[in-house]
Amino acid sequence: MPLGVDEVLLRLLEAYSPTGREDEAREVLVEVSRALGLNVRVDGVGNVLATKGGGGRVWLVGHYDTVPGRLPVRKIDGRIYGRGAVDAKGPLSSMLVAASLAEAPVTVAALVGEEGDSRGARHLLSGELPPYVVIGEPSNTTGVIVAYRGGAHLTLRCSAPGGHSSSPGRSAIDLLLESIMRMREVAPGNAYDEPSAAVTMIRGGEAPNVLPRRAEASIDLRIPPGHDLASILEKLERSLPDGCSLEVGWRVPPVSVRPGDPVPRALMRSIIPMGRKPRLVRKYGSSDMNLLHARVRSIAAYGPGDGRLAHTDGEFVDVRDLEFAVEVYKGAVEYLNRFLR
Amino acid sequence: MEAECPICGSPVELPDDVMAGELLECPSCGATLEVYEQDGTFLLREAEEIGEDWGE
Repeated sequence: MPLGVDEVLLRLLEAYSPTGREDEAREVLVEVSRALGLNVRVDGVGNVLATKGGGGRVWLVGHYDTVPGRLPVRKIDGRIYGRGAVDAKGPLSSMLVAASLAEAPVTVAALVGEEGDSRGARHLLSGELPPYVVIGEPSNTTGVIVAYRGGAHLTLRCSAPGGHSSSPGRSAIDLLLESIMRMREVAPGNAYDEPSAAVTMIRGGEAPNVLPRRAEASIDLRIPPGHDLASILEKLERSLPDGCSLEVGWRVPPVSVRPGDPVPRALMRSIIPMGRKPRLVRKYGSSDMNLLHARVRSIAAYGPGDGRLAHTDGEFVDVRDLEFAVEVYKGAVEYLNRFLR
Repeated sequence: MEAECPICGSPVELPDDVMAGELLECPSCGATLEVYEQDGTFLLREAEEIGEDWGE
């Protein structure tokens, strides 16, 4: 008897796989994909490529790493709980089962590192990509994701000469706070369409009675479609007081696609006959869609599960939503293959 | 096949295989539109705005 999507997800969840520790889950993925009748290969960075009919020109791209934080894996009253149930082993499980049932060639690419530096997606960029890609991320089962914000991880560093803290003088912490206030003017983040700069970590100072010589903050910058990352970074740098500098780490551009493009249409056309109304969604965060977009003809993201539960300790997905998503992915793959002819 | 944008009145090209319930964007004014069918003809009406969601 073929594996059910609930069983696939439970097996993937049992293999805890925070970013960088994906080995055990990779073995499970290979086993499960073979059990579903798919051909499997693993690439140089650990991405698992499960194919049917030679792989085809439509790819379903998910990820099997998760944020850290092991959670008990349970199935209760039609819901499956566990780390990654929503983001994104649930969508990936539906993709694998959809590929096994699809009457058309398809590849499921299960990537590593999406929650980190997108190692898996960056590796894909070094090879050939198909024209049509569906990204597997939670979209509340009827949402079709047509936009993600881009962003960059920044390290803000300030330094000052130091001195006795009872006396007047410059403090690196004061400079850091002033920098943060100025950055907020460039990236206020009050709405989706405004760049945001969230301070996520802060360090500084050497002793209770010494004016701080060094202070540092981690900043998660996010920018909406229509904004240019390089020009926002330039504005942020120009806003800094003397003694402060910015280092840019991970970065991705924003992405926005037209709802009438082939992949969003294929997803909507699979949702409608099942009696549900598709919704278009734009996300505050980013995904591998941001990186892959520039290299494919059409792309959109879709998946079962409530995105608001992603990265929380309350992650769960409803089995009916997983099953619904199987039909949506399958329908989209078959439609896009017809479209390619 | 064409239909009229109910917001700006511009003609909007519909794909040959269009399905009632599909959502698309008016190329002239950018409004999000929903395809519906009336008496065998496909027409357009204003759709819900694109939703915003957290995460990823």
